[in-house]
Amino acid sequence: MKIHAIRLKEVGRFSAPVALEGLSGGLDVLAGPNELGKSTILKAVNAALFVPHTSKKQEIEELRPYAGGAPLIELDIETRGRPWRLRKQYLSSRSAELRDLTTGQLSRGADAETQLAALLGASGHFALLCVAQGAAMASMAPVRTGGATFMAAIESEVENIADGNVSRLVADRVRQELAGLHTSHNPPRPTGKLKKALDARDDLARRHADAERRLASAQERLDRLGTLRNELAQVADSELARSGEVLAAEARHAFDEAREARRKHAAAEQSVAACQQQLNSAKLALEIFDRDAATLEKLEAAARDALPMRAEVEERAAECANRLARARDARDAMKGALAALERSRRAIECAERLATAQAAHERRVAALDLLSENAAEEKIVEAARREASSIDKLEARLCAAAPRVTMRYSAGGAGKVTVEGRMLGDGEVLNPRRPLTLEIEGIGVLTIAPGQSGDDAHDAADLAARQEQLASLLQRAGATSLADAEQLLSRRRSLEADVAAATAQLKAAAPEGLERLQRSYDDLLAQVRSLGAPETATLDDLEARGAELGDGLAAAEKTLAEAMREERAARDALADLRAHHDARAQQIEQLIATLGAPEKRTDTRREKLAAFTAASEALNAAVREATAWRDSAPDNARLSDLKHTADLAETAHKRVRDELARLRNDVAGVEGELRSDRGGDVAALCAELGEQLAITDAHCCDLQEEAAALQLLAQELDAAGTRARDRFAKPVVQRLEPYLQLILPQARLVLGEDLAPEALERGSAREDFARLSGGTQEQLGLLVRLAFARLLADTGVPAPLIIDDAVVNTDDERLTRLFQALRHAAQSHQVLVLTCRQRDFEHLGGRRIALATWEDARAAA
Amino acid sequence: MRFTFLHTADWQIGKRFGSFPDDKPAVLRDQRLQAVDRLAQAALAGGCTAVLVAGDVFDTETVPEALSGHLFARLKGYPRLAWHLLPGNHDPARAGGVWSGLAASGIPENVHLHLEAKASEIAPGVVLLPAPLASKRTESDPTAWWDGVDTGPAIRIGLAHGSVQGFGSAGDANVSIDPARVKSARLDYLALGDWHGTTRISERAWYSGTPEPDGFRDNDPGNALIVRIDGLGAPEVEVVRTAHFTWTRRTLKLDGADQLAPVEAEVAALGASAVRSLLALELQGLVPLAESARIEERLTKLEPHLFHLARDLKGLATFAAADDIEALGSPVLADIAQRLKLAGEEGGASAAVAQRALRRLFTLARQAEGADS
Repeated sequence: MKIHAIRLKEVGRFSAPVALEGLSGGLDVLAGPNELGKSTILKAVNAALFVPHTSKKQEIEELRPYAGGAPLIELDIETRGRPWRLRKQYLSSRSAELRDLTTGQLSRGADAETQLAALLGASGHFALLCVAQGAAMASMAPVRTGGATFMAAIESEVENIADGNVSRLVADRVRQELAGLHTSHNPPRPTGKLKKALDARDDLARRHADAERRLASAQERLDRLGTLRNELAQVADSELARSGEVLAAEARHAFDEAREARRKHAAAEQSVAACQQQLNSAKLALEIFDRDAATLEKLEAAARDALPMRAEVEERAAECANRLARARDARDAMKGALAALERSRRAIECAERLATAQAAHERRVAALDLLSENAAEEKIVEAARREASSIDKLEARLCAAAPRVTMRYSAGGAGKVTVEGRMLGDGEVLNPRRPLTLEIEGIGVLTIAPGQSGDDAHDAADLAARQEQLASLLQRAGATSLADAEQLLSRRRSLEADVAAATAQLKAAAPEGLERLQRSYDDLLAQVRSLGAPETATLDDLEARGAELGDGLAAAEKTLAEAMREERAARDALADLRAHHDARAQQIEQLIATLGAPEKRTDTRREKLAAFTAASEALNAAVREATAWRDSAPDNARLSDLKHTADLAETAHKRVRDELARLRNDVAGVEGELRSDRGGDVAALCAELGEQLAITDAHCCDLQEEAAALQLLAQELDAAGTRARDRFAKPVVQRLEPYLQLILPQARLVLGEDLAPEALERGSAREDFARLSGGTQEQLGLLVRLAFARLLADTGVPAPLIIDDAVVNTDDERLTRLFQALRHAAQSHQVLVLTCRQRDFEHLGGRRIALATWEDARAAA
Repeated sequence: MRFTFLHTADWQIGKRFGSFPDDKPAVLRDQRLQAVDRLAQAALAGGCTAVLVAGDVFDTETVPEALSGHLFARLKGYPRLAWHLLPGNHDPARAGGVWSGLAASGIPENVHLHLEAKASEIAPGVVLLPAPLASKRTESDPTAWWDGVDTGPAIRIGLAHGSVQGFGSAGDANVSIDPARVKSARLDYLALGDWHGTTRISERAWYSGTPEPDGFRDNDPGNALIVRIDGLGAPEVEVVRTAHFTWTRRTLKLDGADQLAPVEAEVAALGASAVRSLLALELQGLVPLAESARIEERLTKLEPHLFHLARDLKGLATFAAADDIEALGSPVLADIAQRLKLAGEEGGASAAVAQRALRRLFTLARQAEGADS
């Protein structure tokens, strides 16, 4: 097929009708800027050829312009040597028309679609080959899309490619069955049925081995049981066992008897010891009794003898006590006299202090009285002073402002001038600040009215106030004038000093206070009187008397000390005598308590004597018995022998018993185990497991053989598939080769089973297609399309190849070679290049086509 | 005087039949117990008053007590019969064995265990000389002591388990019995066990065989003997069938599936009794692949008719004929088949794999054709 014209209206960006006219059918190039609509043209051609006009698929919706509309596409195509015009409108007013431009025959609607499909033949999508920028290779794989013409093209050159479904079904089935036995690892591992069988076999093997072990154990147990029973029979029936028991009993009996004899002997010896002890006790009791009686007698005699001496000592002690009392009294008297003397001294001292204190007190009181009458306190006087000073200043100022009136009498005029009834002296100066009235005798009255400024008024007022204040202060101070106040103040100060002095003197004389001092003096005086001391004695007298009394006291002390020593000695001697008497009395009492009343002591002694006699007899009897047992009891060596013999016999007998018990126990144990064996029927189980293991093993071998067979079959099928694929791809590879050598000399492109590029081999290196550079991938993709197109052309069903900016990552040199390939390809089939790279594609050649307005009257309508 | 008894042996009670699939082992085991009922019925129908069991009552020494209890319950159910049981090589009388447990737990009155080599009067004027085995193997002849036993004019019946010298044993015991014992011990009859097929050794010495076959042996198992001793003449021995299942072994040499016809006919002839038949079929020969598949199909069709079909095809080799390859209908598969055929003809372990792969290829191809059509 070839496309000679493409016309669009309301398709994508082409709301207005546009057309690409005059395509040569060889190499046609539409070069234009981005957003020219090149991709829209490609989509529109695809849609018109392969999408029914009735379609509402998304790809048709995407053809609608943004502003809306119904896409209209018209193509002039040439196929099988005849020109056709195809016209389709989508979405609204859907329609399809196919007109034979040779005969004018027109088919519409579904008929047009049917006829179009027939024209395109069974090639389907391979009536048109497209390479868009970044398009996935796989989408063009002919095998997947099932293009029959393409396959027919290949098949026409390849024999025996088509194998139908049988081999594929077999291959699928082989893979499926193999996957049920082996994994796809290398080396493969068992899975599915095979793994299950192997696991079952291994499990059976384990269980069988276990059953065999248990069976062997069971057999051993049976054997052992027989052996044990034989041993048991031998041991149980042995004469030795029976005689051993008798021997053991006899030996034990002999030993027991010997031991009993020794025990009895030991008991007899103990009895002898006890009797001896008893005898000793009785003897001791008797001796003690006699001794106590003798002691009692001695004590009573001593008590009697001690009585006279005690009386003498008591008398002497009394005398010493009296003497002591007298000495003490004499001493105490001396002390009393001294104390009285002391009292007198203190009383005198106190009186002197008291007098001093009283005088000070009186002076103080008097000063205080005077002080109370003097109100000229410091602060008042000071205030008055300040006021006076101020007054002086004010008066001075006022005087300075006031007129100065000096009285000068003329002869004979003295005393004739009076002011306020007072005669002015000659030369007296007056500074009247207020109107002054001078009465001049015989003349008249002269009034002097001084002028007064504002300041003067103020000063005058101030002066008056101060004068008033001064008067008040003086009044408070009780003074008539400031000088008076000063005098009063001075007097006050003096009085205050007197008060302070008197107070100090009072404190010195009576720090405890005058009243207390008075009370102390009164107490001392009372004491002195009570002691009879002279009240009027002087200190010197007192001192002399004190010395005398001191000497007397010393003598009395000495006498007292001697009396005390004597009294103590007498008292000690008496106490000693009494202690001896008391101890003796206590001892006598104890002995009487022990010995009893005198009338009963004889009986008591008799009893003790009898007890002694009885103990002696008992001892004799015990000695006799012990002697008898000593003769019959064996010695240690003999007893040890007997014991040893008994032990040996017992041990032997026990050994036999233990052996019997052990054997019986072992028999019971083995029988129990055998019961368990029977419970599990281990022999049958072992046999059964053995059979099952053999079967399972055979089954595993069979499955493994099956897996090997399937593996071999799979390998053969894969190899066959590879061979078929290689033959299948051969036609494509042959067409591809010249193009490939242009771009990548010495390289070989490996196609996959779907004819999509799989890898590129250069020399010994093989690179996966996906790992090639983007540029190389797009170049190879284009070359494969060229090969497809060439194959179709060679088989008489050429299809145009539209390339929409599919080589954007190609360098200049390769682009040049690609151009060469495109030019060569255009000789066999149409190549329509849509590109935005106007400059680069200038050297491609071919016919340049351009968009024009679609002038068709029907389109405009 | 006259004494009639049933001679049987090798009951193998408790045998597991573990190699059989599904629930077949349970059925086979159960039939061994049910055989006892058939023996009892045959004995009673034959006018017997005693049943002599010549060894291997149990298949193992470790039979569960429950199973031995079941057996004794059955025996007890026939009080008119006196059951005389002898230990064999599978169930020897030894300490801790199956018999010591049974003896301890009590046995029915009509069951008599002959665990010692001691003559026993089992009926008025009838003395039984048992030769119980005390181990699986013994070098000595357990019947040797019979020669010296004086039983007066009584009927002397020997009961033993082992191999009569000069005669092969089916069992795995190595117990030799002098075939002249009948004469040296002045036996009226020697009841033997161990050989599972009914076999006449002499007019007075028989192997009864097992009452219920337990293996594919062509030695006439599945019987019991009714023995009538009357006076000094040779005893009258009647073979009575007691088997439920029939075990048959066949070996066929094939070169085509059609040669299975005789076996198929044989099975068909069994009719309803085919379901009580076990068939061990060994095939040998060399057949084309297509035939091999057909053989498999016919065997698969035959199997449900029988209780069990044990097929052994190891001896049957296959080959791919030209027709077979052509019939594949696929050049690819034909090519592969040809390659596998050549590999299979080379010999060795890989040849076997190739042959099997070839067989699978044909099977899968046939299945694929069926799916494709």
